Amino acid sequence: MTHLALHHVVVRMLYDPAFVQSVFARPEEALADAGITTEDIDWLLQTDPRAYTTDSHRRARSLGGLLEEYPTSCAALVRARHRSDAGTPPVAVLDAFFSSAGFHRGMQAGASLALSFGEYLVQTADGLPRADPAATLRHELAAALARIELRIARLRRIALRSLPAIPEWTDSADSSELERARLHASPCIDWLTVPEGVLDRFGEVRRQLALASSARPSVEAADDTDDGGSVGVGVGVGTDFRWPEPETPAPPWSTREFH
Amino acid sequence: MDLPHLGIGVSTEYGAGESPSALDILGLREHAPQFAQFLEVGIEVVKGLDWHTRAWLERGLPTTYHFLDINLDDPRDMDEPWLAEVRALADRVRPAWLCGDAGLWHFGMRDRGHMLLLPPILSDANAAAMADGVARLREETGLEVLPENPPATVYVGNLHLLDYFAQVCDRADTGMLLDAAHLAIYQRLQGHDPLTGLDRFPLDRVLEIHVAGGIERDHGGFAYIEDSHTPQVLPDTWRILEYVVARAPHLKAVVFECERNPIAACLPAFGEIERVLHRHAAAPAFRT
Repeated sequence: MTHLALHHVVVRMLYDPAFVQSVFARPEEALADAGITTEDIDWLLQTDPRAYTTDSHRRARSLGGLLEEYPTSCAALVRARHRSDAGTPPVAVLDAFFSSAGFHRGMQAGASLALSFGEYLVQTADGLPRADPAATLRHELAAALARIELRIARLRRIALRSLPAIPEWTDSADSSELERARLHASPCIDWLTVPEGVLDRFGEVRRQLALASSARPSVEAADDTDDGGSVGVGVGVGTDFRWPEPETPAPPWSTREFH
Repeated sequence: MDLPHLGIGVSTEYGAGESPSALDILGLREHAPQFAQFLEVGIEVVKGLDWHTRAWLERGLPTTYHFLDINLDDPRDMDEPWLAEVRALADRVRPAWLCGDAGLWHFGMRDRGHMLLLPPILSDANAAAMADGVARLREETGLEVLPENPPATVYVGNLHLLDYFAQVCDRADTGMLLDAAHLAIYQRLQGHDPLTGLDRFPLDRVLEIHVAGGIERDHGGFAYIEDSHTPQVLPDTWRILEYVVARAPHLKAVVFECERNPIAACLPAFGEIERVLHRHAAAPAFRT
């Protein structure tokens, strides 16, 4: 069944030109963890590397879909990165997901693209420098928002078809044990602890994004004259929305349950 | 195989009728019924049927069911919830058969953002797995399943595309949906003549043909054909159609895939398809 693994390699190549270069330059090294045979590798090397990059909008289209699931954390991460590195296009930090180790690991394993992206957001936000109190607040907020939206994305994907079995009442059974066994939180509910204030910011950022998207087109046409494509793509995250700044810097963070 | 002759038809998928200048399928049925004898409905179970398709079904008109969401070569993909949805939709659509590109419709699990279309790995092992998937879907639904050769810019494997699909059809003992435009794309990429390999392909397996327009592209010196579904059909595709129609005794259906184009723009190609079919008595469904 290596054809499934080989298909996943092809998908990774379609998304990541750097990976294409690695495959053709150092195939044994680039594909060491792919679970494919030397014959599979030979077949890959017989293809034209340019064939993998004909669709220059693939990453942007996929990112557009991912933004729908991670609106606040993407906005927070883009803003945080923009503050620390204004010379880089703001959306680059999100686009870089498709060249990340997490993307390649997830795609090769057949994992959910959205969940891999959420894990990337958490990891990236966690890795942002905490140089001063304001940056610390921004970066911790970005990480917390990513954790919230990742948890929501996971809940969207739970299999409701296999709920835990509920024990039957019997005369001999220990009623207190049965009571505990019969009481479950709904599989649609999960628990997450986030710093105090994050939920308010979560709601506020969502409102700001809604306002921003209603005030300007969320999809901006992009023309690629290279391949003649006419697909309109755009990214709905920007750095120019009004961010809800705290009145006082870096309040003491406590924990609060979210469900 | 006791399958009906459907004639010339058109295709659609969820939302295609909403695009600017979309083909008015019921309008075509009214004004040129010879070109809209059936509707091939492209279906993702997660989306269901749009109102254009439902309007067609309400009139009791013929259909086929074109799947857009199953990796037939991956046994894990054909899970019971998906099958239950397919059976329910097939009950509503009442298709003459199931068909669809035999390739990778989504990477990994069936999830948001995972949809794409890649051709199968062109190997003996994959042909065996694909045939198993075709046979199992037929068994699970009670409907014949016709694999279709997908389009791509890259094909991986050691078999010619047609040799691969000959194996799939033989192992699964089923018919073939030969997409002439997709085959033209493949042959051009490989540097072959459009008809290469057709002389050894079991054309008696071809029950349905797709015809569609394509656009020749160049990407950094890499020449390829985009499967654009525009009304301008490339000469390579016409050559393949002419060759296959003349030699496919069990041909039952031809679809012109032009779902996002107005009727007037599509009529010339419909007319040419009709002329090709009428030239060849080998296709009894199309004798006049």
